[in-house]
Amino acid sequence: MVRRTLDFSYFAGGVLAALFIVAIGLLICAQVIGRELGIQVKGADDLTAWSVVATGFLPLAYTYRHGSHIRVTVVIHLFDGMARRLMELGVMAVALYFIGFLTYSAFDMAWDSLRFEELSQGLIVVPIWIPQISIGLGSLLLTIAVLDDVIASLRGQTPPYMVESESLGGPVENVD
Amino acid sequence: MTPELTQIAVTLVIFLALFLGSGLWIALSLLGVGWIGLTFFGTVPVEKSLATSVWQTMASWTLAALPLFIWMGEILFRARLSEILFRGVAPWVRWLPGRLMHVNVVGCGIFAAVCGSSAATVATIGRMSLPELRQQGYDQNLSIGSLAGSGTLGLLIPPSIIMIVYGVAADVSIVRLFLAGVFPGLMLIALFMGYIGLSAILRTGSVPFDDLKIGFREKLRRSKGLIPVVLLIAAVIGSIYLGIATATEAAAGGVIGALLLSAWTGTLNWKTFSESLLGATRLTCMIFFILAGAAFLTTSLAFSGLPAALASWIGSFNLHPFALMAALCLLYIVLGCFIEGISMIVLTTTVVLPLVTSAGFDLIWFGIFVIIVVEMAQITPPLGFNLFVIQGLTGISIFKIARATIPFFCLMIVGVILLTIFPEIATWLPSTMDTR
Repeated sequence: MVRRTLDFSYFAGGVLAALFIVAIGLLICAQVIGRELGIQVKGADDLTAWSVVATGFLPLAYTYRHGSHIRVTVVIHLFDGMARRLMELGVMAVALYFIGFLTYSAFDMAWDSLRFEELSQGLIVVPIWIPQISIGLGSLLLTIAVLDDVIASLRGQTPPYMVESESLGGPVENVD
Repeated sequence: MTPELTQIAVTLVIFLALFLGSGLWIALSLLGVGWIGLTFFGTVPVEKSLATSVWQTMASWTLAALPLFIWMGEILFRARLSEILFRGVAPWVRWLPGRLMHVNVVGCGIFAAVCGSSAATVATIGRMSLPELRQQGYDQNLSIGSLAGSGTLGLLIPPSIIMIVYGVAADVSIVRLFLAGVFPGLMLIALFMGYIGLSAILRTGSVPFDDLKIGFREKLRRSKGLIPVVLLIAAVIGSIYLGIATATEAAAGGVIGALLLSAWTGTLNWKTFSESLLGATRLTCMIFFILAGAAFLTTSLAFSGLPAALASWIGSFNLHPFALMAALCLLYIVLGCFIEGISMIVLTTTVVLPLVTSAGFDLIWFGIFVIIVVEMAQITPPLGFNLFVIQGLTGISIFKIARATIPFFCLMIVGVILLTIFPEIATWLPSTMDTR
């Protein structure tokens, strides 16, 4: 049950971000068409910029589970067995600290914006913590995903990011 | 440099090497070094500046071009263009010395103009051309080498993902960068094709004999499939050059064009659509996370005053600008053995750009320079992504592929030298935008 909920949350972050990419495309098209017709699409610039943030952070955990976040593996691949396991655990512990810190910092920023009732400065006025919260939510999901792997690793399982092939920085997963 | 700054610099470099070397994710390594910089050498609260610097960099309308161009590439990558490009280009290059070998170069050049990734370019063209060339008895080394070399055009010919990243990191116009890449890209195509032609003349037997005559009409008929691709290129690059569209708007148009094209090749269905979209989501997230880490590192370094001090320190040696460029070229090729291109660019811009500016170089020109050097790193082992892709396509060992690629690596060095002596190759086209 816990497993299914976690996997679903990671995937949901990815799907939500995918929808934000589509939204960016639609917003830009709306702006272009609006300009041709002489209609100003109100606040499209801001909405696009906020969607960009969401596409960067909401899928952090989903991307992590696919092993698509890149890292330098030249050294770590020299080891295997127990040594490799301990090294990966060490890396995950450091990662957990930094991503946890980012999560804390992001919620702190959103909380400050909420507390001081900061509003967006563009044509559409919304409390700025709403778009800002995507950084915190995405980082939180990644924090949970890394913690998930630390626990799995302590139980003797191999974390999924090691199973999935590492991204080559391009859409090459389908090379025959 | 003051002893205090030297101490900071050494500490940060050690931690960066430690984080990266241990296999910590690159984005988190950058974030971590930024954290160390601010925590131990800074005066502002770290938790306040981290999220704020990330938010300020990422909430950007310009950055919206990146996920859209990535998505466009992912769609076209699944649109089975390999065969269309091969059949379309082949009849036109038959008369050149080197014959079908040129399909690698021209095909990669065309695909690069609709796609911003070099790995996707190599995979798309190589899937069709490598088996075809082998079957017809072409020299294997030359066909592998020319594919690996030409694949790097994906980074240089607009649209280009890495140019968007550089443009955001260096705060220069992406439209200008795109235009600046056009002629250097054509220059590399000319160098590659010239080399293929020469080696075909000098080494008879590397290219099979072929006296097939194809009439002009027949050629046109066979190239019919290229028309939509060429239209898409014209629409994306043309609209940017004519000032009708910004890079972001051209990217949105490009996605629509790519969807139409894949509908036309009969590959558009729910599966390819969702796969391309989720693939684009992952790649975008990976790049944006690195950009976010780099944004925080930049903020952290700016507090320490390190980049400016470093620039003036190196400036005090009074290096000739060409010597500086040669040193940077070497630095990037060595770095490229460990780190992938985009990370390399965001990692170094903070420190390198003040240097380059103070040496009197144009930042648009430097962007093109650095992208060609990154391309060279893409075809050198142990971390040459294009080599991995070709290995995946052919099963040949990576070092054999790398050896076949050496002549093309040397041609790119020639390209970099030409670009340094004649910077107008890059700067001329964007400059014509001002006079219009």
